[in-house]
Amino acid sequence: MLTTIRYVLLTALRDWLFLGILLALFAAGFVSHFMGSTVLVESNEISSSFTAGSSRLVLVIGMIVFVCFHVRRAFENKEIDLMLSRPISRVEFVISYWLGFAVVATIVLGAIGLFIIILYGYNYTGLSFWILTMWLEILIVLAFAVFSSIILKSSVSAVLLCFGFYSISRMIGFFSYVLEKNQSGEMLSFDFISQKIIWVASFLLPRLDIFCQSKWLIYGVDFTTTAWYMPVLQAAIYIPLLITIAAIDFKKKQF
Amino acid sequence: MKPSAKKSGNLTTAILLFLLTAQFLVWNGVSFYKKDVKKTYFSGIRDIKPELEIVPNVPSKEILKAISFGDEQLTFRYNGYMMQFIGDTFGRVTPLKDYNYEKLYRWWLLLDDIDSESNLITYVVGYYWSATQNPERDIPYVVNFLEQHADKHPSEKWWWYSQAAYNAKFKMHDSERALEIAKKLADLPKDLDIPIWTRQLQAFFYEDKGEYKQACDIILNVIQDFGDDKISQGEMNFMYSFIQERLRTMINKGPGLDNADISPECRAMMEVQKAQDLKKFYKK
Repeated sequence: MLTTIRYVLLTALRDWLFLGILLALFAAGFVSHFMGSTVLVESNEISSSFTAGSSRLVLVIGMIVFVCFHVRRAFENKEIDLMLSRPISRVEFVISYWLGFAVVATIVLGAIGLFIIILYGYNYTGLSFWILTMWLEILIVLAFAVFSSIILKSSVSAVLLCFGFYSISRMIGFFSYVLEKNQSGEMLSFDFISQKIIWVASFLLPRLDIFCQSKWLIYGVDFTTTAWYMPVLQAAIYIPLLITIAAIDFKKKQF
Repeated sequence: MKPSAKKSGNLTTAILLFLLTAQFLVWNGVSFYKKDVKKTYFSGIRDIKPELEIVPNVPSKEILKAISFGDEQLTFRYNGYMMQFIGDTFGRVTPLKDYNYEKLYRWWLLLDDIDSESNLITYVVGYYWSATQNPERDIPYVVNFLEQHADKHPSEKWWWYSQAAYNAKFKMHDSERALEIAKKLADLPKDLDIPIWTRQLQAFFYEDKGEYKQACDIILNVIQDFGDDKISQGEMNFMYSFIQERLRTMINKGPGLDNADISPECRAMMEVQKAQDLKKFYKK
């Protein structure tokens, strides 16, 4: 297992992932800081909010693209065949692959955290909670990326599926709100069917919109109104679920 | 060169010329002059200009929530940032009188609904948008917004009441509106640590209206409520001079002190000889 994790880390270095993401983070932070400095008031709040938002996107997009292309390339280059020739079960292989990506993401997230602490470290509780939920969010996204790149034969489709999953999961709270507000009573009408689809999706998808809110960096976390344990519960359910599905599919694959 | 190759080259040139001509017609449009009257058959794409609106249309709260992708604070900050720069983009500068303040007002309310703790929008409204060259039309929106923002957290946002009252009084020239807001400021909890002028503001507006009775009562109330520990000697001196110089002058110009319609406490207050004597009006 450790060998696979080391292999993923080495490939991340080989693909210039760390440097690429860190450069993108630096650019995002610089632009956010510049934009913040041009406002009349609350420039630190604007800069920290923009930096947090853009860092989240850089990390998520960067990791999705890296994982999807990495896994597909490993299949195509027969690297997976070679690794499976060692005494390692397929389930173990999927878990160690996800763990390898998780280590990579944790290193990058550590850099993001440090970056935000240096620039805007004035609310440590909020920042800690933001980093914790960002970590859980990226672990879920990585599990989904591993799952989609194992079941789909094309890296592009896997990337698009991951982007779709991420966008809808971040919007699913809004969809649920709309669903509650506008209930269509007419059976089999377009509205009725779409509402049912959204209802099923809201059950199947994680509520990523309750993760890493940039308001925590500004106002801190109000633990009386924030369901702080929900991100932990969501991660505890979705990561094993996605890894299990990916492992089941991987076990059935013919090489 | 073979005849077939020459023929193919001519065909290619003809196709290129045809496509370039078609592109010119699409760009320019097709119009003819007939007896000095221009008749347009087809207007070209060069007439289609990008729509550089000054104030973008206001989305619904639901749409704003949807496009926030779960991070409403980021959307608030982005749109708050935009509020400072809208209309001044792509090298153009728009005078404030050309903005649609009704639309701006709906933007302010929408963003304030997302985060009413922040001063980002209020600051820009109070110190930037209030500088409009058309105050009669635009300042009511500014005053309404500042008041509505302060209404959400009156004790923390009392400063914006004062700004709303200032704009109502000196830009809208609406004393009644200014008094309405100044009353909210004066009615804030008594234990709130805010400057004493916030409690006196109504008196200055009444004085300006020539209503000395109300002005005097306000000052009396301030002394009674806050005199024992919150009014400094300097403030006490100011109130003494306000009563003796400004109110007394106004009353003397009018009915005279003997005939003035003021309460007995006010009359007694106007007869004190030095600022320290105002202490006897403190309500224990």
